[in-house]
Amino acid sequence: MSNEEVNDHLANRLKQLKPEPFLISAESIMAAATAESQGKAIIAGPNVPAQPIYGRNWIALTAACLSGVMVGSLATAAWLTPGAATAERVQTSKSTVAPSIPKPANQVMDAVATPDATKSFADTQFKNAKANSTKATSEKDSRETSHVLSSVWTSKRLAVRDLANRDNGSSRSDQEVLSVTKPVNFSYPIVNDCAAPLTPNPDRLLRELLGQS
Amino acid sequence: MNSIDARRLQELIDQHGRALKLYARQWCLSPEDAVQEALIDLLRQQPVPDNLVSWLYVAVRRRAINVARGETRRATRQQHAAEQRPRWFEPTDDELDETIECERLLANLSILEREILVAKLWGEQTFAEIATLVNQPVSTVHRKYHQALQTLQSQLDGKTLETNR
Repeated sequence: MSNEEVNDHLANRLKQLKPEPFLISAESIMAAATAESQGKAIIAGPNVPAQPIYGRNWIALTAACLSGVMVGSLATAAWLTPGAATAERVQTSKSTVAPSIPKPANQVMDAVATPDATKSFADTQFKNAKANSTKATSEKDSRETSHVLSSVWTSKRLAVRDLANRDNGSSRSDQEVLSVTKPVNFSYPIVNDCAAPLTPNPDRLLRELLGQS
Repeated sequence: MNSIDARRLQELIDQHGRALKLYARQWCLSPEDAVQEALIDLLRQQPVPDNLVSWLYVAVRRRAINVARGETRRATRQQHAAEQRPRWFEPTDDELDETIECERLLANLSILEREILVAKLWGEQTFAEIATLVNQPVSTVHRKYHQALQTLQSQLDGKTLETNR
């Protein structure tokens, strides 16, 4: 067999390996594109229809998610990141998610700096997030934790740190601040084991944040 | 064509989604993000590019490289993710060993060789299209493609990569 024939044979064998599927639907991508063009993100919870939200609520949701308060409901809202795909993968059985970054995170801090109910909520959750971050560090350092667990906590810790840096005038990019909140192998049971303070009714909280209470 | 509707977009995803995702994976650990962003970019194109698939490969490449840069900046997290990275291919039970072996062998190639191989084998792009994609002469792309296959073949000597089941 010539070299070329050997190569062709190998190429044909390789071609039969099926690449992993791309699971995001056209509908989700079109919704994300539309929302992004309007400076919005689209979120959805298990019992909350997908809908666009604006920066301020988005911030509050992010803060809530960082603190662990809303972890239960959100696979979606929780991790409002450019990683729409990640969220969708986590939550495919429950809801359709097509989040995109509404606007860079400078809007986040602007929103947090605005004196209103959202600010108050976000501030509270941000403090909780810091507390959880400290706790997570000690937990992680003191005993072995699974990759999943440490990844979730690492995401939180990094996000909290980055938001704190931003508060101190750090020059980290907006994109980076947001993207570190992406979970790795996010899992409800494990997060619950972290003693994250789950709200009794995360869907209700989500609706309130969206102004639908 | 003035714009792309949901049906056409879904067709593109069905026909090319897997290969585009695999192509993006050559650079980054979040290939879905790169592909999704590229598809969103496509929806914004006015007019719609003539050769949609070739355009998508260019867009996915750019997005994947950007995603990879972000991942590099977060080296610690990348390490975690690498340890838990998903498979490149969708294995059936009896093909698991082969897919793992294939991933390992492909990962040993240079990025250019991998890129060319993936675009050619799974993306079904022509050598001319790949040459434009990677900004290399067609002759170089052709040579690198065969070089990559020969490298794989030499690594496979004495082993099997039996996919004809």
